[in-house]
Amino acid sequence: MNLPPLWYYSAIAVRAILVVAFLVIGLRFLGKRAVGGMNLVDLLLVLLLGNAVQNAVTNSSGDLWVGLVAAGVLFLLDRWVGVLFVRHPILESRFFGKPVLLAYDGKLNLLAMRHEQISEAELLTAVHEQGLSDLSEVRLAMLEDDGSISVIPRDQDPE
Amino acid sequence: MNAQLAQWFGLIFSHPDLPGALAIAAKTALIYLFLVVGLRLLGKRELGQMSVYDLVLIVVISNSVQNAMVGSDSSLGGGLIAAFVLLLINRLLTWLMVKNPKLANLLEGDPVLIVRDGELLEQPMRKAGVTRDNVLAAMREHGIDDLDDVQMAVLEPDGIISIVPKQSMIHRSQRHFRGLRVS
Repeated sequence: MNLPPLWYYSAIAVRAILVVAFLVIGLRFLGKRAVGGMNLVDLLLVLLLGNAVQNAVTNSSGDLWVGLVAAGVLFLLDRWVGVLFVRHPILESRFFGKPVLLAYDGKLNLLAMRHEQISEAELLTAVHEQGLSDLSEVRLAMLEDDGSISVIPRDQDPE
Repeated sequence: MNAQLAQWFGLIFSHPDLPGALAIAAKTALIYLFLVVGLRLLGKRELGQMSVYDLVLIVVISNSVQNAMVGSDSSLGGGLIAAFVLLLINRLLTWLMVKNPKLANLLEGDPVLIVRDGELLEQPMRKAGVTRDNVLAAMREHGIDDLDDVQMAVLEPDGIISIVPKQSMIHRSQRHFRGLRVS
């Protein structure tokens, strides 16, 4: 490539931004929301994704600056987007979604679970993590913005 | 100047031709599925029960197949195609697992009971590589300091140890309340 360095590295920077934007949007619409509660299939996805796009960013270049520019740009982007969401929380909820009711008073919201791609087993795991035996002890189960499932137990009646 | 601008854009909006694109898509799909099946056959599915070695293995494998996914292509478009195919297949697998609990069980692994009625179950713990300290730490996270207060502790497939304290209602009957489901 006979581009002057500044041109070359700026192109790499743009490629890095485009790749991240693509992945974020792709994960938003095609991926599961849960980051915790990963299974083997999800872990493989994350690892393979990183490798799949490596050359898309670096153009197979072994140049040190290519790597540094790419990493640097991504750090900055992460910072700016973070600041943007702090200043405009509405953007965050619009992009990452609102909490979704998964179960209420021991009953499952099957439609929501199917829509959010949450299996009953995953929900039960979250229920157990709250220290409850099963659904009947659940007052409220919500899928939060960050993908975690929060469970609120029913008040225990004294026996 | 114009030539450089054209080159600059060319570098950014680079993409493979159609046969190349299809090749990348096909190879990526095959590799992802191959790895899922392969790792499952090796017995790895519970992330929580993976040792450091297992994780290293998976990371190295992912790196090793990189060139097999995109081949000699180093364009932006090529990488995005590979990423897109990965996301698509992941979505497909997830959807299948939600629809088919047997498949989910096959790929996701089962929770393992490690404490029953205040008693540490040595064999499952040893098998899962869970130490007494791990269990105690999980208990403290739930605000419990005495094993006798624990009805059951379960190592979930994703690695978290969940603690069910003794005050919880015990339901030995069926877990599925079909009559109460709302959709």
